[in-house]
Amino acid sequence: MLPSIEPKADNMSTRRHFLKMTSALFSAPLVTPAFAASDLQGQWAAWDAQVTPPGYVAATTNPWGLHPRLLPVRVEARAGLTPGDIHVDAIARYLYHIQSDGTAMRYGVAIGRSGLYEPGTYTVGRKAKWPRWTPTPQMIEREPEIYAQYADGMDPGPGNALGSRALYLFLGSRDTYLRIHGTPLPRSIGSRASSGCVRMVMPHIIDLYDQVETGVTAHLYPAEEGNVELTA
Amino acid sequence: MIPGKKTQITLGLSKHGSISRTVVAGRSVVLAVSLMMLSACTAPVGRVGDEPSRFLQELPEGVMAIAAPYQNLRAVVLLPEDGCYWYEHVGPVETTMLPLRTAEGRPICTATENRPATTG
Repeated sequence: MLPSIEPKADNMSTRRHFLKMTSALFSAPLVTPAFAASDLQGQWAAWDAQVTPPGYVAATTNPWGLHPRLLPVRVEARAGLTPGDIHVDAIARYLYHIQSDGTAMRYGVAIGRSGLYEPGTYTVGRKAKWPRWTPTPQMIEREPEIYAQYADGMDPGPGNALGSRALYLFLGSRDTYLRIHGTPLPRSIGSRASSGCVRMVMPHIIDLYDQVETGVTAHLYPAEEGNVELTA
Repeated sequence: MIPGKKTQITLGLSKHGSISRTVVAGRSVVLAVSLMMLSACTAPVGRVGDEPSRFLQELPEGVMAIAAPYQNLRAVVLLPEDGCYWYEHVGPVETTMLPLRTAEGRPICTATENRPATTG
């Protein structure tokens, strides 16, 4: 899913801290944005709670009916991989986040439909909580019956196409419009369903998001040939 | 094909027996293989060497016929837990077992075992 104009959510906590400091020292008008940021954080927390099942345990909670192999698990990783990096094995439908102890956290994902998924080596250039989403002109042109209604953007929230978190994949300084993001369609995990992005269950990417630093490398490996859309 | 309806499709005949394929127009493909032809109509997939392999030494011809070609058919197991065929996948981060799928992406399972969870 491909957003265009979205808030720089990552800067929010820093900005909020700065505003709180300056508002305490100086004039009253700066207090208002500080409260706005606080409200935003409160909204994010409420949405996080809304999409996270009661008693959520990453390795076992599965109201989505996913195959158990697609639930988060720690696995032993090959030697020589860079801690912090992300690897998306498109054939297996797994996303790996490499840890510093020789292991990796593995999550089930959905990848783009045949012809839309773009393997390559990218940089996580930006990340955001509860982002806004706007389909690209190409998506609207390709499937106007689905995307034209969102040409002006979709407000953040549990129904937003990017879900709870998004990692923005860049080539150098250029935004590729490819994302690793949460999805309001968790039952699509394990399939080829998206318009090119890598989808994750929302509570799973909430866990992953805090562990991923901007600037790490995301390796997207090729998928199988043909238009295999179903799951396994 | 009507979703959810079972359809018997005969794949082939020989003097040793026949393979029949039961296709469930849902999410997985279930195979019923006659015991008579297990030895005659199979393809060798075992590895060369003295050590016993955990992989199937011979893969039923019906499985060979419908499995998508990108999978490693020389390293297949039949898991009793779900009654489905899985293959060894050498990925960029780990070597792991994945469900063996048809070209359409459906898991390939035997008729006598429990049906697998198929979402995912």
